[in-house]
Amino acid sequence: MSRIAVIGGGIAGTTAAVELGRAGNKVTLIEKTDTLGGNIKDYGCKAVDKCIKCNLCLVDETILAAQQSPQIEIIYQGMVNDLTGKPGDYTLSVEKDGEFVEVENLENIILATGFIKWSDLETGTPEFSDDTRVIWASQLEEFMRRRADHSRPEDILQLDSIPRSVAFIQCNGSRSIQEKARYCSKICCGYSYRMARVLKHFYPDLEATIFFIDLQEAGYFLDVNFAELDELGIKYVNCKPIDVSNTDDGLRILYENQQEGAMETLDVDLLVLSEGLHPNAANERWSMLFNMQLDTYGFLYPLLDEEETGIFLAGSIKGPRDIAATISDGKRVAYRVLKQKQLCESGGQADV
Amino acid sequence: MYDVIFLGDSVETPSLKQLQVAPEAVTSCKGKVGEFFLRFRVNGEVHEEKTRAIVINLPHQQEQSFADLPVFRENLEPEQEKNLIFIQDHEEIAPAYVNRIGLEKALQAIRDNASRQVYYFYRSLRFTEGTDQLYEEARRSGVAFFRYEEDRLQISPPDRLTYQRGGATMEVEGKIYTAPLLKPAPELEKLAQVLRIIPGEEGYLQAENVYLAPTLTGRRGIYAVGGARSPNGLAGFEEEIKYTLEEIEAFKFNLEPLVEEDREVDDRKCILCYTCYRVCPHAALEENKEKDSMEILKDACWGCNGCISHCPAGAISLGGEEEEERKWGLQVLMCENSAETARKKMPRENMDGFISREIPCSCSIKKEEIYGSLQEPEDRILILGCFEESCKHLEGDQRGQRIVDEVNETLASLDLGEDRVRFERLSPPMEQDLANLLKRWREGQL
Repeated sequence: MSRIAVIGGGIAGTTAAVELGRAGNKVTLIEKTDTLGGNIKDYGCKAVDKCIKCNLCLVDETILAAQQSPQIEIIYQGMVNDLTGKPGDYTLSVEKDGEFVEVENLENIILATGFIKWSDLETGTPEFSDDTRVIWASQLEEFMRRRADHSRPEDILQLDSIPRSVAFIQCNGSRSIQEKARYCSKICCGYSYRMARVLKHFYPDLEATIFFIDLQEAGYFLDVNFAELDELGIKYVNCKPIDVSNTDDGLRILYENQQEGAMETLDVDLLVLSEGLHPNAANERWSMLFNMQLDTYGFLYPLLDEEETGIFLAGSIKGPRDIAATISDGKRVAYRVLKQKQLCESGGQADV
Repeated sequence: MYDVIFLGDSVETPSLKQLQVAPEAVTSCKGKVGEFFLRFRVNGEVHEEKTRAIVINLPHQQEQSFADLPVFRENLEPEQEKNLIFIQDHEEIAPAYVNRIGLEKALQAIRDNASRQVYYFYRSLRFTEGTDQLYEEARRSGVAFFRYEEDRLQISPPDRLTYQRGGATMEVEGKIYTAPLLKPAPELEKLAQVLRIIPGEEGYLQAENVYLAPTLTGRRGIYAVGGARSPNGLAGFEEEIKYTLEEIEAFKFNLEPLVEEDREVDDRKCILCYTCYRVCPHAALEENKEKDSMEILKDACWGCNGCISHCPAGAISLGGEEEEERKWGLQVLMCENSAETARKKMPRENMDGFISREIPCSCSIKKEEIYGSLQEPEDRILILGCFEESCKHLEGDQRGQRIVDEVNETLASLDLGEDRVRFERLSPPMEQDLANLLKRWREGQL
């Protein structure tokens, strides 16, 4: 019986695999690490007194379903090495523990290897890399994961005392020509907004400031709005700070107050840098192996009709998207694969 | 049999057989995903059509942000002669959709007539895909952009305004267009009742709930897009409608029930009180006239068991359910959508000493069962549900909380102890919180 291979066990890949498995297909899921979940497996729930729609709760169920499904075979620590065959009957060569495994008889392949965070790139902000008071947004996740122990962020983040003030800098690693990332990463606005809300929930006296270029509609539900930020006492400044320096009072942020047209400074105890999403380094190889096209920034898009080649792209390999959009995209690709199979079986008639 | 019926505007779909129906004409909607029976009235005559799915696609109600000034819209043809002034005055950040229309119109205006002045005053702009290019083009073409704070713009209708910034004052003159305020379409309130959909806070047909992304409503097979969903729904409209139609297409060959178990209404016990009909957040119950009893529509059921716990006649049961052996002590009832998932990821020994049971939703707990499980003074019950707005069954957590509150009130009034039943909220990624919570509850420290 023919199979479907899904490359990448992140949200997009896992969702597509589960959806295809449920419809009765044999699926091989190839994951390069030893756990499913991809980028989000270290994230923590951001609920305060109510859900603030980080969408993380939708993920665990899918991962458990993939692990338990008899239809889904998971190859952990597998690296795709080569593709042979022709549409309708592909073979993937997968390297696992130094040996090569052939995954044969593949009717469809779904490529879902996702993105990498800006902090994982070798560029970044070297002048701050040693300062514990400057953290990446993903480091705050550690706090989210461990807040159950009533651990305080100052312990987890190895700060000397309770932070009295925090600043978030948006559009860090995206919307930047220098970083070859002119695009919007789409997740950071909602992310910092949620984080600021969570921190305010735990530390009502905390002074939080968000520096932004422009705020996005953050996902399907969460509309970041100024009125709510105002109510919560979170300040927002429309400017990307010009300089950050180290002073006795903490980190001094130099920025432009655009309303007044004046330069101002703000001293904070903690600085959280948002992280733009960047294309995976493997994309270049995928483009050659699977006949895909790299866009200006290095994300992939299909060169030929996906239905014809049988090779589909799913999730943030195509460009930045948040958890909910990635889940939707994973499902959507699964529907397309199912429809294609249905068409083949019914002899190519358009009306099933 | 149609594949999809659009209530409101239709969207071209060559592979789906479709029908368009005016939303105000709809009088009832029976059935379930894959087979809805939609009734509507045309010229006084009642029609009934069968359809697999329903998509509600309505424009927003657009209100003026200033009483005396016209709004800009998609079909606006700016006047030829005059200078033009666009004002985007949103107290909160403007929906990206409005932003796009404003920029398009401003750009069109200056392209139509390069000798005129076009001013664009805004409190905040928002750039999603494409709009940043629009903005850049508009700037390059000569549209003048000004950001303002509430008190720095004085408008004297119909065509004058004064703008202040940093001590400088500027007066401009021109035909003024303002950004519309988006409100739910007026038809939505009635549609929610007729289609039995639990609406969101502002009256849109999609409750704010993570399980409903991107276009689902609580009733399976009925989708809200565009202005029926929320202002957010407009910026991503193209993608959302594509996804929705693909999902509907998949129903043709892949429509599986969401739950495995059979829930049944015993027609000898059912008293047709319609409690289940009112309680069900997914509109999965209907009267079966032949059996003279309510009936569960399996494809529509999401499996919360809310009907079972609320049925006053005890007529609804889970097929094949056996009476469990009762145990007493520290009992933990965990919602399968949150706490139970967290438990699966937690080391087993954390559950030692607790009697735990999986429940489909915190709304499925029954008062009489709780009373029955509190035999000895040391018996206590912890019910773990979901955070507000993340309940898969929309209002299940609130129903669960209410049941617990009422039980505790009754116990206190009978002097049978306080706080013996406890309701807490968790989410699936919170396995550490769960371990911690159980430890503190055992020690009476909650």
